[in-house]
Amino acid sequence: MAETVQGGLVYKLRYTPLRDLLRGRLSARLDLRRQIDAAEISVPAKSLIQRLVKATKLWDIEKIAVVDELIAHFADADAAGKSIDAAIAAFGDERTAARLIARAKRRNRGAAWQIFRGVRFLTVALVAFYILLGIVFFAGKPSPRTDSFAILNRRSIQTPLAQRAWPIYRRALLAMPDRNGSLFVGSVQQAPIDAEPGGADWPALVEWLRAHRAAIDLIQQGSEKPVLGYMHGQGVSLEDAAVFPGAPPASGEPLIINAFTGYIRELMIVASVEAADMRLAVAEGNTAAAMRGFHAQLGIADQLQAEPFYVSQIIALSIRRVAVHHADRWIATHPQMLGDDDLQALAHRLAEPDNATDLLRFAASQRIMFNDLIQHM
Amino acid sequence: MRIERELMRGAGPVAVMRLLEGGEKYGYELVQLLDRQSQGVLAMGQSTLYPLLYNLQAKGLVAARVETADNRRPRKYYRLTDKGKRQLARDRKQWQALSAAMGKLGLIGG
Repeated sequence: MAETVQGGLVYKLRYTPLRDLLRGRLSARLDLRRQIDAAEISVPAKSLIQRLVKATKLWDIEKIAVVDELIAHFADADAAGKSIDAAIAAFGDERTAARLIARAKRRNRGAAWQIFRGVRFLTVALVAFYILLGIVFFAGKPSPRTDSFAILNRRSIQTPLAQRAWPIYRRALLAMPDRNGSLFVGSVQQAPIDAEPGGADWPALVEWLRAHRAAIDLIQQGSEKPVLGYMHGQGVSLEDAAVFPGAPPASGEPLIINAFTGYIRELMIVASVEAADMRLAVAEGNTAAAMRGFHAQLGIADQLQAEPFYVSQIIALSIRRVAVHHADRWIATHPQMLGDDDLQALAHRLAEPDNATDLLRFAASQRIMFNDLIQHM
Repeated sequence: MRIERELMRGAGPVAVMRLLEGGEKYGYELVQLLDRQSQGVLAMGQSTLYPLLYNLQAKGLVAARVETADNRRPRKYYRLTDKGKRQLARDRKQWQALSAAMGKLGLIGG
């Protein structure tokens, strides 16, 4: 428009579109009211246009295009000799017009805006979806259909009692009531139970080992069993209550994530005892006893490895590492104790398992735990 | 005679494109031509015409230019684009086929 724009700088800046500003023009052409007021059309037509463009909620630059078009429309109707009432009647419902014009104008917007709108819609839809999920989650009641503990215990149940290690370990543990005493307190591999021959704690350890020979023999018997046979539960069984005097009682919904895992710590203790007994046997030159201690440690590791928890797999690896370390040192420091048959037996035992991945087999049980968690939600 | 909304939804854009085939036109001109050439059958409320034109524009079937008339009033002229011409040709065939089919069914024609 060539006409001089009235008003101060602030007014002009407020109503000038950015594209005009960038071209150095202060057009102030976004002032809809001024544009409508200046139009040579009837007042009812002006009112209609004003209401309609306001209802579109479009951008000002879009509104002004609609205003120009509608002003031209009513001016053309007037020029064609149509009365203002007839022109307004022929125009139709202004609300419908506003809605349709707004929708059509938005379709004409650029790709960036369309993408932004799509992203915004998706975000809102996602938030709504999550709110819905939240409502379902908090309003619903869990209806577990699978007894996940039964799945975890299936192998133990299917194994005859005589082939289960845990009942024997239980007896061994009860025969070591002082297993939580000072001998077993200390950081990893630094407790008196880990003492080496010649060390300050060694005499006390040797005395303890001799005093608990029956328990050590029981551990070795248990380590020869194919299955650990510990019965998993949210709390501890009646049989195990004496082993775990402070254990939490079973209560509420049995969730695997709440399963009692205190038995893993007890197995760490019995493995430490076997390692200590192996050191004593080596120090005394008793090959058969040292070999029994070595096999007992690996037997415990194998049993723990078949347990469902990630932590049990890690502890099993740790026990295996200690056993291998003891065997390694034994061969290096006391080679005269080992004949060909002993070395062959060690080699065969150390060759197991065939694959390193067999050392970590918790994926299936983790799936059971995950499913159990889901079914309790 | 008033045409059902659904029928008009299909016929309206084709009718407008057909009118623009003859050259560029502004909004009120289209209103008058639709009314006159269809004997009022395809006369649509202008509340429908302008969104229809904007939609055709969004689809690239028509293009618009603004020209300032002698009275310094800006007026928007619409013209058919090449894409619009191709679309109109396709629509024309479809309408002819539809019309022929309706004729065979005895719905239209003698």
